[in-house]
Amino acid sequence: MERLTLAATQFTPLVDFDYASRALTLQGESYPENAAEFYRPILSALREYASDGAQSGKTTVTLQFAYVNSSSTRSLQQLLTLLDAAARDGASIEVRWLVELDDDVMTELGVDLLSDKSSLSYEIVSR
Amino acid sequence: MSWNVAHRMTPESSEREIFSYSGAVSAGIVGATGESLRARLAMLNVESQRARKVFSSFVELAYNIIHHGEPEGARDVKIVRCGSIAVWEAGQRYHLRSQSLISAVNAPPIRQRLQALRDLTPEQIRFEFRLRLTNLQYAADDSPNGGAGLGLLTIARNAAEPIDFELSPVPSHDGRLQLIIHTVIQ
Repeated sequence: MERLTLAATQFTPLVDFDYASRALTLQGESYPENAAEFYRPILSALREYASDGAQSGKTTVTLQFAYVNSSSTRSLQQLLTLLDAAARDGASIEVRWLVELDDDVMTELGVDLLSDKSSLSYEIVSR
Repeated sequence: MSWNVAHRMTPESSEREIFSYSGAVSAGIVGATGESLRARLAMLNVESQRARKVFSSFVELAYNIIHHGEPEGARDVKIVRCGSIAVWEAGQRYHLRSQSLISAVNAPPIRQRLQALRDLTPEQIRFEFRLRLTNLQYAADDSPNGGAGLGLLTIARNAAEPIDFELSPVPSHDGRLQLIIHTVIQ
């Protein structure tokens, strides 16, 4: 699989899916008009990754958002549900949800998105 | 809500206007106006938690105009939808008010969603938000049961009091209705 990288824009986060080092990073803003369209290739890559050797080592997922709109929230739910299913199937996946110290909105969103993902190892880190 | 939102066109003298926009609403406009609003909130030293909620509700209201609004005037594909959003401060509370046209067909479900939302407690809003989030089979932001979608629920979560709204006929617009949504952030 080729490394998936997308530069951050005003509406969308930086994306870096480095298969070799088993690391997925999303960082920045997420409020595109069509979030499903933006997240589609990321979800496709994750599906391929999950069916193609995700079990052979620990995968680290780092999510750090300044702002997420409601349609992006839905896409992130899909992404984390997919990761949770892979973890249930035996993959070792660690999710880090990073928020600014005083950002209660993003902290709450992290709780909403992650608290029902029973197979994932995750932490919500304020810094 | 203590007043009729439809009759509030501009902030009163005791209020501070923060930002207003009226015109075509596209994703590019959401980005440009959103950044202007952020800069204005920073310039006014609005506490970061409040500023984030104001920005979040602003973006959801603007996308609501794009997704549910009816074209106004010439149906140019470039000018997707028209509407207005005003943001002002009164007594350390931040008010946002959006105005747009919606079709007569869209009006009943939108009224139903907004009415359902107005009756929910903050705890029920959070519960509904999580419920909607986990119901991924609903691809669009339309509710299967008359409840609000994630966008409206996000606005409600940010709000200090129930969302107020008004739907009124606009005689000169072919049966289309004017939708006003008013939300307050503390």
